[in-house]
Amino acid sequence: MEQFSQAMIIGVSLGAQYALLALGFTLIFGILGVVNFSHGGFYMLGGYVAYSCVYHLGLPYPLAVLAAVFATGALGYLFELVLLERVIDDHLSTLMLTLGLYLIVSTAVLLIFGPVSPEFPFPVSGAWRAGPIYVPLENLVVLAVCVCAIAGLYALLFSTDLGRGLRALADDRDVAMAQGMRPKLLFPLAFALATGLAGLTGALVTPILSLSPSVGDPVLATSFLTVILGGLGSLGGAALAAFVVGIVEAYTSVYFGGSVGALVLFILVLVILVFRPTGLLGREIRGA
Amino acid sequence: MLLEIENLGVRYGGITALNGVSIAVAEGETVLLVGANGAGKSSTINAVIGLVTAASGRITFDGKDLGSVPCERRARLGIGYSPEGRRVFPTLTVTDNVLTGAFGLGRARQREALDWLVTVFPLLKDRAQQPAGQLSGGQQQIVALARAMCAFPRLLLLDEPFLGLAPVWIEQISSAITQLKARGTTVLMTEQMARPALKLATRGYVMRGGEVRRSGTVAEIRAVALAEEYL
Amino acid sequence: MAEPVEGALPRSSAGFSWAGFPWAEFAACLVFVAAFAIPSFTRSQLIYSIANQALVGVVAALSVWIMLRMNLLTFATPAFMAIGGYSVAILAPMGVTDAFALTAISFVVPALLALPLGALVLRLRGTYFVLVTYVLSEILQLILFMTPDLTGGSNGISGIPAVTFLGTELVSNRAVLKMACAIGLVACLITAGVTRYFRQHFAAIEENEILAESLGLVIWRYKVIGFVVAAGVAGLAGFSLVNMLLTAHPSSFSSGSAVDFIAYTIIGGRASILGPVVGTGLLVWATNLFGTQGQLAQGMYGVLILAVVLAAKGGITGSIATLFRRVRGAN
Repeated sequence: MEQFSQAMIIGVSLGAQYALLALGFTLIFGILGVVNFSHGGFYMLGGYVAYSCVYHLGLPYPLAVLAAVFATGALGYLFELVLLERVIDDHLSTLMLTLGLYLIVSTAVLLIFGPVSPEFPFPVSGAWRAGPIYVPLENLVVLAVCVCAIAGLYALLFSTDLGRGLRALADDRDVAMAQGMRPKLLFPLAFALATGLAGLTGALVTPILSLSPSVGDPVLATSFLTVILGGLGSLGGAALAAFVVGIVEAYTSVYFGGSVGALVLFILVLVILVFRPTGLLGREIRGA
Repeated sequence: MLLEIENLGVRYGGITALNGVSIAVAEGETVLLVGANGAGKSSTINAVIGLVTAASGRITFDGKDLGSVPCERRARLGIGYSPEGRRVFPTLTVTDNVLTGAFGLGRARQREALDWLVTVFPLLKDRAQQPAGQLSGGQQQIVALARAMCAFPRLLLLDEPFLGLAPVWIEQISSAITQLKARGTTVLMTEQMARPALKLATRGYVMRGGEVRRSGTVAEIRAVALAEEYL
Repeated sequence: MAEPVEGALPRSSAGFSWAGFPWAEFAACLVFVAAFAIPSFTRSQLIYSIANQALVGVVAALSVWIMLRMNLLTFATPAFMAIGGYSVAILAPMGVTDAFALTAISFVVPALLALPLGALVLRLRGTYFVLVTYVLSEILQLILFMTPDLTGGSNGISGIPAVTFLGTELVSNRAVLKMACAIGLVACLITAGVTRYFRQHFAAIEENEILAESLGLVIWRYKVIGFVVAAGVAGLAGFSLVNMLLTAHPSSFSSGSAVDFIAYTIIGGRASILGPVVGTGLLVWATNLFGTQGQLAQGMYGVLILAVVLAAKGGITGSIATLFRRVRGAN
């Protein structure tokens, strides 16, 4: 029972992290039609920005996390505005650009910080106990911040003019433009929003998991997995799938160990892609 | 003239969709473009809103040359657009769909527009929180019409508003368009089913093969349309 | 499709036209033939090693290039390389060491596996295809780790017996390099053959899939043919890699290496078969310049990819061709 509830807590906590990553990823795909291969890179960058702010600038951790969000958001904004925008309608070119950016970012981090994982512990330690249930405080903090960020994103997307415009652009770009939404203004914003979320996740999670220049690879794989499972471009689907992936991962690693869970998820995703490419909660999306 | 199209040409790849089209719409008029599928009606509308670029000719709106105005800025000039096939935003709720028509105009003006539109289209209230993709064709057309009207445009472009709709919806939409006209809105509409549209129009053009073949009063257009079996 | 363009040059006087001759394919094959001569010129182990790496890389890049002919980007190359490589690594200790047999096996096994997979997957649109191939690579990695009885799991398979050519064991570095040249030549001939034979179909798919389909081309059938051949060619690359290392290890086929092969092809230029050949040669050589800082090469690939996508659409070979045409036009 203790093991069961423990796995549940780990799963939900993982799910919240994956949700932040997957929401950003699916936002970029839904609105811009771009598969963002640099998503893991922004996660990794977020971790390193936070680390530098704490250990080189001496900032308190919460401010470092904020700095990471702004740095990754700003880089995402500029990348979309200056580079991606030029080839935005060619899906192969946009994919190559994000791939190129990822290679550059991870190499730059490798050059600056070296291949060895820096010592970057989470500032809160200890645990919260209630009977048989035992939750590390760091997980609780991460969970709380992730839930707030998800709520904030939903508020932005579903109750502001900007969010309405972004969702309209995702549904039908031409008609949205004819209603006066300007892709040149909104696309960089959407991209920045998504990369900022990836940076936030990185800043929050890398102190608990690990920080190294190659930490973006598995993050990209998980984002893919989650987003395909939920249906490319679907926000609700991504959030739901993130928790499914997190919980499946937690339980299989507790009860079976190793990579069985990952294999099961990947094969599930393959089957979904082939037979139901719109995902769990998916809908038809425009040709991409 | 509120809208003046002079010698407009549009090409898709190597195919000429429009050739030397000239159409004028005065303030307060309701002008109808009649023609078969592929006659160039939608291309004309799309060129006015800016979804296709003109290969030649000029479009002026309220004296302003639209040639250098990108699509996303034309809405702000006072052009509302209801596309062929309705194309509501399927995942957005009915209310959100309508409000996209007044994007960036501020909450107060959006509120005001919505309050008025709800009185014209009670459906918008009944189905307010439903995703527009779940609505029937007629309901979607009403959403598309309300969306096009939300910023109180001076010119309303309606591309095939009756296409594939049951008579009961055609009647409802016709009466809604009549109410919008009463507010002084200028309308440029296209229709294959010319009969209900002719009741609304003041003037019309007959298009075929990407060119304007005839223009005239409603009675004249009706005669041509009858002869060419558009009715 | 390609012929009329080149045929515009009035060269055919005596009924035979050089304009239709597949110059690029011919030149690419010549590169592999020329590579056989490397051991006659030098005994430098470093050059042998670079040449061997390049020969493995170029075959993998040819596999990527076949798919790019149809505007499809694949991340599955390492997966099919692994299938080809592991087939060899599993069969060789059982006594199958003949070079011809292993070459055939390393092509056929991945190709056969690709057939049902491609038939399922290639009905999907471009973006989904990219994601599927990425997922395939990940799945294969996991499978390698989870089947220790067959593939040695995380230890891989080592101590693979040397390949034999007409009864002679190919053990020396020179012999291994020549084997890599031979595999490369086979891969190049297959690639050239398929892309020339189906060039009109592939060009139509690349140009406008929807239009091609509406004109009655059964798109997915040609895509499957391309996918199967690309898988086989990747399998050859896997064989070449295993033959070079004499081990088959999961890390040799990591999904990340797919990015390298894509970089070779895109940077070299995707318009002609010379693109992957030139791109791989130059990039592998440049990577070795970094010496122990080899990981930094990735950053260089990144910069070059951005440059190609944004500025020099044709990559290295395409830019040279453009330059050449401009110079000739100026004269």
